[in-house]
Amino acid sequence: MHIPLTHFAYQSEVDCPIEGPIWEALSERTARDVIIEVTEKASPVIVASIVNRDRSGASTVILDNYVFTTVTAREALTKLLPLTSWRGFLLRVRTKLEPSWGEGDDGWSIDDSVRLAWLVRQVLRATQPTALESLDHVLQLGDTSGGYEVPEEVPKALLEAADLADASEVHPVASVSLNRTAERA
Amino acid sequence: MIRSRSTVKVDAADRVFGSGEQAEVTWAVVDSGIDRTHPAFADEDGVSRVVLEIDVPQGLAAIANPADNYGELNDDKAWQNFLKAANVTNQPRDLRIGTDRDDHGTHVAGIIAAHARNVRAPHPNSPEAADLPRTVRGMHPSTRIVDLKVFDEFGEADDRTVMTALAFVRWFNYRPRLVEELGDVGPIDGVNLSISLAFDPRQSACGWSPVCQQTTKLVESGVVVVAAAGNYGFQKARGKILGAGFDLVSITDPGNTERAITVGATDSSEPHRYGPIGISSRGPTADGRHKPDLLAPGYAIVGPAVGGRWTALTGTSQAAAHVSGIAAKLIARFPEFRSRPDRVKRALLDGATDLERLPDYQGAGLVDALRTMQLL
Repeated sequence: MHIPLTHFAYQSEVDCPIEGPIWEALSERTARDVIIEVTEKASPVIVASIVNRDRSGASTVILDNYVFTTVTAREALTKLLPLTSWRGFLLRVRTKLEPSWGEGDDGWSIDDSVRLAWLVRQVLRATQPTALESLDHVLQLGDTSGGYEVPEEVPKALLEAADLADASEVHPVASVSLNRTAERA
Repeated sequence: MIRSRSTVKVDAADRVFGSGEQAEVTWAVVDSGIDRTHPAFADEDGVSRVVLEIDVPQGLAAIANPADNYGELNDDKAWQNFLKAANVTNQPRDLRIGTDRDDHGTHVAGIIAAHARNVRAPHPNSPEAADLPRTVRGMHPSTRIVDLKVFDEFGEADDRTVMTALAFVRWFNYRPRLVEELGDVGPIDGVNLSISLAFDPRQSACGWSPVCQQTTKLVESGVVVVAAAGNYGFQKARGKILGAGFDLVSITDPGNTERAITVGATDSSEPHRYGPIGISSRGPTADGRHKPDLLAPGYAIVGPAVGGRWTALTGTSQAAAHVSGIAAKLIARFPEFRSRPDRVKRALLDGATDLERLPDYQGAGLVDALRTMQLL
């Protein structure tokens, strides 16, 4: 998977339902407690089942339209993001997971390019921080004419996410937030 | 609590309105747990007015069995199971974090409902000893207290435990009275939230975090919710620039909830002179609403502590507890306001005393029990 370096140069905010601070807090090794808000029309039971698929030992509780659980960065990408409003974006990403990078076809837009670069950056931060450091080093040199070869684990996870997005017809997750610590006031 | 009772004119309200026939009022304290054996909570027969004790982390742990795929708290059966695991009423409690006693919940509950006679400080030379009269009364001493302990044995609480506690109150109030299991407890008229969760605008809109949404649902269900504004008004001196260190837009969750009654802290005896104390969080909210709603005493408030002790604590926690107690008094005197939390909030704001500070520092002003009740 090859992404033009210019796409990483955009600093604008993206509309990801799993916001930057959550990716920052996640890492591959340490799971973090999160609160998943499920849309009114969807079932939190289905969301809990999907998140807990192929894993054991996680404490998951459903309260009203919320699911309390723990996720790693990879699980956030492969199990949560496909259930959000980024479902369609992940399906479009799948069409791009090929060696030659093109733009402007299959409904792909410049916004999608920015989203993908942003998402790759978040995933690298959580799972391969040294790879992100290398990317930032290249960007600091100022020559953005080339491209960046994304470590193969990332497209593999994106494909997995796209498969789940394909399997679900709606996006049941409204938002994801970190479980915050409360203090005595 | 001693001086502040007259500061918020609870003593005057008691004289004017008397202690005649009043409705029973029950208030939940979502906090670190309450020492129910403290003499401050004993009624005339020596029975504790802390009528129900729920250990929320313990209940959640029972529901979230890792052996199962997930646990649900969405039906009667699940809540009954939660209650079975979490109900620690009358069990011996160890309200400590490590070797320290955790006084916070006991203190807050005492401001609302303490009534202790023949009070003696355990250490005659302690600072609070000089302040202790023989009788100590909270804002509305006949209030029955439900202890919703959300802090665990490590002294930690989070969004989940607080949200679960709030949802529990909704479930509890819509159930037919659980006389068989719990005795005649409730319904719960109000909830005190002397807790604070940092608001992160990158994760949710202000007032719309999951815990704020749960707070709103609880108000919609007819329960008065009083929340501390937070203690982030002044963090620390930043250089020598005048005003540096004071933070506007420092209200925390669940105080950011629009329909909660959000309370900042003022001095216990001279609120007109001092206005909000330094640490008391200031508004506006990040989305531009005026908060806090009210100020109440929150500086060096003497109240009950774990193990039969008395101690002085400072913060918006203590301020919120004053307003909870006054709201309880209002409902006891005017029971038609039960299940009308927005009307109770309006009454408290209408009756407040203007301290001539900016709205985002004082809200409507200092809570005033007498004027509030006279206006009704």
